[in-house]
Amino acid sequence: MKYKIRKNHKLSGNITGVYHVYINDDHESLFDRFLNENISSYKNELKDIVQRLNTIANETGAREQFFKTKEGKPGDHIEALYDKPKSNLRLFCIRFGQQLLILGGGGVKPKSMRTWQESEKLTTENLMLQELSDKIGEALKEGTIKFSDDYKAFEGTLTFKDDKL
Amino acid sequence: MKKQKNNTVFNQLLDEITPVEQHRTDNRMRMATKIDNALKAKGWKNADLARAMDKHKSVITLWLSGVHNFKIDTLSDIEEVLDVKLLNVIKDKSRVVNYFMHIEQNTASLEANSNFSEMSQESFSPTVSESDEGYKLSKNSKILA
Repeated sequence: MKYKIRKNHKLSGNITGVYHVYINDDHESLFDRFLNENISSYKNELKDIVQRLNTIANETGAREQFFKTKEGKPGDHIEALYDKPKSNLRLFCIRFGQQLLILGGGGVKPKSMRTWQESEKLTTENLMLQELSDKIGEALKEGTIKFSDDYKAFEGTLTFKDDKL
Repeated sequence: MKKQKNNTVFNQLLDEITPVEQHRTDNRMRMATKIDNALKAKGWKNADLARAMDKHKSVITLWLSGVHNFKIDTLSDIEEVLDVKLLNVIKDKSRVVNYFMHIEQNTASLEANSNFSEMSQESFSPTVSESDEGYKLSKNSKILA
């Protein structure tokens, strides 16, 4: 699978840079797909998520307190935006400190569901981000990408190809 | 990769968010940030605050998540426990308000009117009374706005 990350300038703010993820040559990011899939049933929840992302980017930064941590493997930075007590949606992301946030996808996770692993959809979305996170980690190690001086952006080649391709 | 169209759901949602809605979210998350900072300044973990406030740890996580709509009583209690100002409520202070009135009067004798209190009852009898419309003066007097 080929992953590309691209900064969303509408959502990025003066405190946090926000990135979208594109799979293969899709024109729709994982985040846009998450919005499209849930707009008809959970519009208010989605609106709230966008509002919170706005605040994170422009006011508070991506502080750990706003996220459910350890949603992926140890050390892969995969977290989920904290969901409201009565909400039904889970949005995964990769968080690098308070300054950089990569928005992944997500899906419906009713309160009756204990963990995301019980949902095939959420598992698929999470595993994709785990793979991307591995590739970003390798690229940072190899030096093909690096953080900008203010840590709000990545510099370098932001396309990550599967080794098997 | 094709360029994103402007009519995406994301753009629609962004357009629908009113300044008032965004301001509410900003304030909720700023408040959570302030509490988290106070917690860290005290060297406390979430569990310490939970103990001090006799709450379950999950309640503290919710408070810090930025989605909680706090009651004033809760914030007052957190202020006490964490020794932080969260509600900057300023007491109302009484103020002196001065009202000025301009009175214009047609009169034959300037001298007689040089001092308002010394005016003769025959030439002018000012009866000042308060009403819903403000102060009223009798005879030739009038109040200018």
